[in-house]
Amino acid sequence: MSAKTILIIEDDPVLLRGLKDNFESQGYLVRTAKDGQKGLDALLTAPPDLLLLDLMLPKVNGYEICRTARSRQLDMPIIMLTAKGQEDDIVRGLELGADDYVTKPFSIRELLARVKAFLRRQGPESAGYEFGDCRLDLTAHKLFKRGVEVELTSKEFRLLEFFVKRASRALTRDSILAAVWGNEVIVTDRSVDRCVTTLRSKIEPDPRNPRFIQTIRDIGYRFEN
Amino acid sequence: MTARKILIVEDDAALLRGLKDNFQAQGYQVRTANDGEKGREAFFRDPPDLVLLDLMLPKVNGYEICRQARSRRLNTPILMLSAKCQEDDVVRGLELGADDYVTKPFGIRELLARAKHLSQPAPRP
Repeated sequence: MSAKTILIIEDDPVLLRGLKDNFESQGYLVRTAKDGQKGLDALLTAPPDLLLLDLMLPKVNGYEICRTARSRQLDMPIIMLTAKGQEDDIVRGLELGADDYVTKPFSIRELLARVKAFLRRQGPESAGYEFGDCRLDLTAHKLFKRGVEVELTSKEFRLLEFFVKRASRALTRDSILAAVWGNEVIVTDRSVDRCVTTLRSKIEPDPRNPRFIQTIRDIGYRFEN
Repeated sequence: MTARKILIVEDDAALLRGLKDNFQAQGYQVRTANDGEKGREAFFRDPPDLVLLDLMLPKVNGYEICRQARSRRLNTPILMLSAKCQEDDVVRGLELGADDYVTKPFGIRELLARAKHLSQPAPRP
């Protein structure tokens, strides 16, 4: 099974280094950011399996990062790390979409155990998804239709992966853009629509009457299996 | 939406009543048990959406209930409630399969917020 990825956004360099070392020693792939803007960029460009998030950050604070992540339908576990330990702070964090709230100073063993518990609950990622005559193989990074490989561009693959992992959910164009295109400069809603059109031509039995990728007027799309 | 079902296993009668009232006020369907044996039986017979589990219980302790639940592949979220606040206790609880661990005394609003998260269906496929 591939290593789980953790993004740590923390502006205290000593704490950041300590966290990174500890999580790497447990076999996690760790990415770090030391201010809120870099952290938000990293989060939107390549969503991790779990986010460790300080609250009092330069440029963009942790509450705002959490709110943005959830509004873009990024649903990885978020653990807030902070010195703000009042009940109001904790409730605010949890109500904004954090899954856990750990107050500093904290025990690294307890934090490691909490992270492990979240990732255990999340379960191993499926290696593949089947819909209609198609099978999306995430390990081989390939799509097969009736057993024959279908060529996809990297964007088409990422878009299809994003859809199948969120089947039956309404997905806005903004959330799709953030997750699939990240911070690429010249992209618009039309980029999503064009990619959907080519993807439909490759997976749909009748692309003009799509069965899998359905349009939700004025909002975006929904993948139905 | 269907009311979320919660089982509270706690031997302190006053705390149990307070928890029951608060969770019912939030729209949960609440079942309770005041010892470990009754709690385990209620849990395994009809798994709820969330278990609030005290650790120091008469007859069967909370660690044991958690361990047995996971060994039976019951993946119901478990939130441990305990006065045992040492690092070893928390880590032991989480490693035995608890999803969260809250130490007593706790704020009821924080507990309700944590329970709300845990009792929701897992977001990922």
